[in-house]
Amino acid sequence: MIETLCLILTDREIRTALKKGVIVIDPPPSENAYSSTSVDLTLDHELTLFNEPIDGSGLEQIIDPSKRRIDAERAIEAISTKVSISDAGYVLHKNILMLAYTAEYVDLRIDTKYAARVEGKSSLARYGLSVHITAPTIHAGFDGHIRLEMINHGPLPIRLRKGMPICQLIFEQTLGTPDKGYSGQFSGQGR
Amino acid sequence: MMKLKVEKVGNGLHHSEVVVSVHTDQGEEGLVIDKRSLHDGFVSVGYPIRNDGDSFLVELPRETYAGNWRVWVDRSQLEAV
Repeated sequence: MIETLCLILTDREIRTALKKGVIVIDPPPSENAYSSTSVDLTLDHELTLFNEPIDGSGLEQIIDPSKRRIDAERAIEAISTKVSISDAGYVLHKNILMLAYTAEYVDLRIDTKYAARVEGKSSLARYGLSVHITAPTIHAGFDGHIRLEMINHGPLPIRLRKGMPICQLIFEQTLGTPDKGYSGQFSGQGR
Repeated sequence: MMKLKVEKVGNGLHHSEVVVSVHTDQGEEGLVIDKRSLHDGFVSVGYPIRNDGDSFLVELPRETYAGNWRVWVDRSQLEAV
């Protein structure tokens, strides 16, 4: 029988994990960034906007993600425009896909028992703003600024400002340590 | 803990990111990592998952462009931390 429970961390447990350094958020969240079971992250100023397709050009562009040698970053650069959010903010129009980032660097150490999910905030979702496209998992061992796939699904353009709370991170304690964080023998041999 | 040899092949979309290439048993695989993860041409991969002779299965810090988290690499690509 498995006795250990997988749990969502409360605000107190998140703060404890940050103090111990087993979870890193840099810069650290302010006190009002916490809710009972999540912590808000904020929007970085760098955005990557996908260009609208040129209708009637006769060009046919298809991405084949299964090709091992594809350079996804260069492919995205070729069909997108980089934008920096000014003090006036950036207006995201309807149905435009945009890549954005959290201003905070997040590190879930390899040898700890934490994973996380990035989710939207209801205060923005009510206007139709989504912050990820079916890929909310932040795996144990992740480090970096979290990339957000944002779309305005709502009826009106939405003005985004750098530093605004844009998503929430929900931390989960895993059941056991993943193989790559387990210091014992290999979990098995052979392919 | 082990670190895996990688080659920086470009910058990521965000200023905090770099694109690296990993030499796997099946060929080169590209992925985006945070600059802080890259140390003198190596990235930490924790402990290998399993081995088959001199081939080791390791989990990368991010998913590769081809969608793989775990790749088989030769022992020569790894160093103990």
